[in-house]
Amino acid sequence: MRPTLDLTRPGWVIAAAIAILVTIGVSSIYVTDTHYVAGHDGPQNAAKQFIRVLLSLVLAVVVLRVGYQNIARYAYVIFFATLLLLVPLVIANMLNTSMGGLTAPRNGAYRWLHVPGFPLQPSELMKVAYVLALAWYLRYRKNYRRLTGLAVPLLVSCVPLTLILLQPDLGTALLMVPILFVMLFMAGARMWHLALIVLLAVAAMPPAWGQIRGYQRARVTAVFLQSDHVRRAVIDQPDRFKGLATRRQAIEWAASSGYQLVHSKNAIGSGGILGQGLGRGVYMKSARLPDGHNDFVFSLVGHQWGFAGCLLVLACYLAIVVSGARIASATTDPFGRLLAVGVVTMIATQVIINVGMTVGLMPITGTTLPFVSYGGSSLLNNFAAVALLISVSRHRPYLLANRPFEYARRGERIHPVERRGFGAARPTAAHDR
Amino acid sequence: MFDRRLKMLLWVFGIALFIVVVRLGQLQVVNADYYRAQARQAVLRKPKALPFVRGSILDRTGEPLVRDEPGWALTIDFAVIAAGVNSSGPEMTRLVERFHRTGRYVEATTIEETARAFRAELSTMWTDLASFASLDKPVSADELRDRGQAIHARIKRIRRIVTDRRGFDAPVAEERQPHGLVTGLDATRQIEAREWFRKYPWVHVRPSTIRRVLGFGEAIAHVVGRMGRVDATNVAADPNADDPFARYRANERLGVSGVEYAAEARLRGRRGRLTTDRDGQVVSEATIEAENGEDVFVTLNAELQRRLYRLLGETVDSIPNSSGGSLVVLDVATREVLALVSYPSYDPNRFDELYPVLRDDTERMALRFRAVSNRYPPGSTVKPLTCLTGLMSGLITPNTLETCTGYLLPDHHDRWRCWKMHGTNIRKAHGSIDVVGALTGSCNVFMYRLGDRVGVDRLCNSMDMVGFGHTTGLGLREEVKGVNPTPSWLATNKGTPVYPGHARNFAIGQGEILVTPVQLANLMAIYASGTFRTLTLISPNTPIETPELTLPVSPEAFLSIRRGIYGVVNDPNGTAYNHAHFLNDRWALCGKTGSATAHRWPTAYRVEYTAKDGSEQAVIVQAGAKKPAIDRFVAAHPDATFDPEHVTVSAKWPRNAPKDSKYSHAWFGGYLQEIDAGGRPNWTATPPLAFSVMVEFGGSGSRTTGPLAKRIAQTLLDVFGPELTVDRVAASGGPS
Repeated sequence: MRPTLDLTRPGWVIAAAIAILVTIGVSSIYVTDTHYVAGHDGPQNAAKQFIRVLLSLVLAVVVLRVGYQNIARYAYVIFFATLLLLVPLVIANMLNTSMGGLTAPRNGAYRWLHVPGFPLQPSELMKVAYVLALAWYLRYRKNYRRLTGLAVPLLVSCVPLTLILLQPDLGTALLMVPILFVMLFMAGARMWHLALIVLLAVAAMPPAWGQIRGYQRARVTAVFLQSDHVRRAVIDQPDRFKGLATRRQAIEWAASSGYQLVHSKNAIGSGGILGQGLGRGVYMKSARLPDGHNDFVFSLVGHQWGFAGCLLVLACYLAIVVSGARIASATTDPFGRLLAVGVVTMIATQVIINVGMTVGLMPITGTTLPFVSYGGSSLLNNFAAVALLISVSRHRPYLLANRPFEYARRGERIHPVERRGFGAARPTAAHDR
Repeated sequence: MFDRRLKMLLWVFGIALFIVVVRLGQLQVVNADYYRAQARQAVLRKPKALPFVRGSILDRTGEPLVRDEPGWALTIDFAVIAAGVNSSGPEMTRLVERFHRTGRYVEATTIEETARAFRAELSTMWTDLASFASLDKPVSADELRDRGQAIHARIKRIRRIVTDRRGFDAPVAEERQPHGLVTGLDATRQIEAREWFRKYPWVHVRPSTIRRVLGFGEAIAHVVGRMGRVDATNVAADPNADDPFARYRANERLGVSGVEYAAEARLRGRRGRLTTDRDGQVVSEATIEAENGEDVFVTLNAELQRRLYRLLGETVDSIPNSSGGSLVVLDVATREVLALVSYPSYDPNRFDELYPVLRDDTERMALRFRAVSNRYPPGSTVKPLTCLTGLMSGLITPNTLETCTGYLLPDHHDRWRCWKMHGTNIRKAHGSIDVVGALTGSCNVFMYRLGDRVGVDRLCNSMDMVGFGHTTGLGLREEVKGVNPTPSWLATNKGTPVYPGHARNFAIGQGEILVTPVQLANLMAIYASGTFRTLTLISPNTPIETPELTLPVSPEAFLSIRRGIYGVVNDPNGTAYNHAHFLNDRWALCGKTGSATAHRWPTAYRVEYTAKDGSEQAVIVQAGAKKPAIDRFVAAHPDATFDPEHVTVSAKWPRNAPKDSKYSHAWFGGYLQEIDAGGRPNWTATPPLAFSVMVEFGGSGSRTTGPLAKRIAQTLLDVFGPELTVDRVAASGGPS
């Protein structure tokens, strides 16, 4: 019998946070059921979501039983299998065909594989597969501390990135970039190398701006146009602000590119401090806010539960992130460490992008709010990821192992058994007693 | 190092979280009220205009003549109309994309297949619409498509105007609205329509009222008038331009003629606004009720109007050359118009359908409101006025005698003859006669002499006093003033000085004088009462004093006029004794006949032109005058060249007449005089009802209109009872 370690506590915190988030999510989907999705996603969304939660729980239990280390061996297999799932979607998009019912366009993008009974969104599953593969690749290496060594992870990452961009699913693609950078950063890549790559990326932005689709550009400009002053300026001096938006975009903003944002902000803002209550409030009675049950579920959470509810949701994510960080810090398994960091980054970034877009701080991209938004693939991905994280915490760290990814700064010496970790309870504590 | 970096990472997440929380605080705590208001706004549906019900037009007894009846219209979304007009336009593309996305056509997997399926559905829709509409009255799918095209063109015009104003091109509100293609559905039909067109989500059945003329519409068609589409000039001159709920909108209708036009301001209501939230619940604080228009009473007696219309129609139709006529009955005391008949007429409820025929009928001209807008020489009916002029000026007295030898000038027997010397049937001249005798016998020579003595100025002055040359106060836009040929009018319009002949001609109602039948009816009321007043047709909300003028003539002198007019019908020497003598124990018909010189009028023009291919051709154009003839020709043959000199009259009314035949319009104007038990007129009683009747190309006044006058008198007695009591207008004012 393995001794119970203090690290189980983060696991329970994470589980509790997820329970709260899933409850909020399913309840919001339930109250919007009749309004949003009749004839669109089918009438029984809350029930469907609940079943998916149960399925995801089963997956999580399986992951926990198998253990992350056993899964890790198949990291590349999982990665390539998921890559293969992406391929038909890319082909479907390029040829603009539904591939004989295998997929179908939604809002002009091919993102779903129509597996009977369970429409699958491979780009969602790609997130955790990518974290696994990247962690597996980086776990024993040091070459990424050289600029040439960075090339391999960067180039390999381009494969799923490109496939996902071709669907197109800008939101998921944009999520992979921070995961890659954070994992490289945490694995000990040199700061200036990363800074250089970021600089190059920034330099590439202006030409890329011309390459992305018009509606994607409009989503970015829509964020700026939410200011009355900016809109006024564009309307008054259309020539001066030609690069930002056209006069017409500014005039029609609230009805076209800004529509979703206007109503999202209205829904959140009208929630006030304590909210309108479950299923109450004008946005719950009307279908004015499209995607209110999936990508914009946070707006309806803010509408129903107000500032307090929003803080609770954010606190849950904060708990997951902090617990994840403790696990990462405590474990001495290099793979587990990178895995934990990747999972934490994945969840935190999704939350920031999703919440940011609902409150008008970020452009609107198809990013779900983990554990809350409607959607089976997203749930599976996030549950699997968190199960892996908890699995990391369930393995007792090797007490005498070198702490991985500790590279001396110039003039610094690292003690082999240095174990002051970030906020982590020392594994000795219970054991020593 | 790992932990340090982990801390950095957590800081980054923490800062992002902090920014999000600050933003949430800004939205939910600081600006919560603003967003709450915005949210409430956002869930309201676009307000719908609530239509008003236009006021009814009722006759003096309260019988409704015209009414808005509830109806429905089949309307189609503009985008679909546009897609039907232009199958490769942006609307088509957008609709096809939407149907492709939403999977409207299950079997269509590609966008091309969707487009094909939609086009096929559109063409079945037009056929469906046509077969549905044809249940009421036959219409083809192409005609409906043309209607759609007209709507499309109109809205594109509006869009161009709005584009000019805004500075950039964007859809106008009309492009998001459905537009009526088939209107006038009743309750059963609208339910059928919903059933028929359920499968087309872009076809809607919307309420819209039908303006319906009730009962025997022909009799009142001209008086009540017509409704027409609001056009740019109406919008420009809109008195309610500042009131967004009352101002004219492009697809509304308004009164364009008759009482509909004259009482437009009272009949028209004020639109309301219905605001609902997403659940369809009415938001009362944002809802304004529509105000219905006011019911307007006219002074007509509908029963009388109908009977007189039939009477006049029988007479006109019995005379081969007659093209029409009119008949006006007035209440002498109040000068309310009791009947205002114009024949021929049309069924106002089928106007749209009949219009092409009515427009081209230049012979009968059923669209003319003859009672107020046609002018004729009054003929002998003004002879009492000539006598009145002499009596008012003091140049003659009732006892002044003149001798009629048949001619005014002893040595010119062919000029200034009395009517007795006309034609083949030469009769004995009138001899020595006074005013009464002259009127009874309608002596021309007496009037020539009198005209010479009083002169044009005095004659024109008295014509001015009885309202010639002025409108009568009906308020109808169709009413014309007629001509009172004063010396200055003669100088301006004819370029002639005043000759002695003018006064002689005016004295017998010929020459340049032109009056409308309604003016002549008022003249009869003046003969009956000695008082001029303006007429009333539309009963005002609050009684107003109509201008009144009592002619400055002594009672004895005025009595001679009434005795003269009495004699015309009741004295065996009277010109209408044989034809119009009408007497019961209470009332005697009095009146004056008139036969006014009439000229044939053109009904068609022949246009010689050079066609595009150079060939010389000629065509007959139906028109009543040269200018409309040219206009119609140019519209039909835009490529032809022609010389206006070679546009000649090709047909006239009456048709096929011998060159030398003379025509006259037949007049009869009169009133019913009360008689006492001894069968003698009761001169102290003012006759209650006066009327005028005119039959175009009717020939002799006495022969044609005399018998008609008798029947009119009988009708008046039938309708108003043996006492000829005219009840007051039932009620007036107040919204329905």
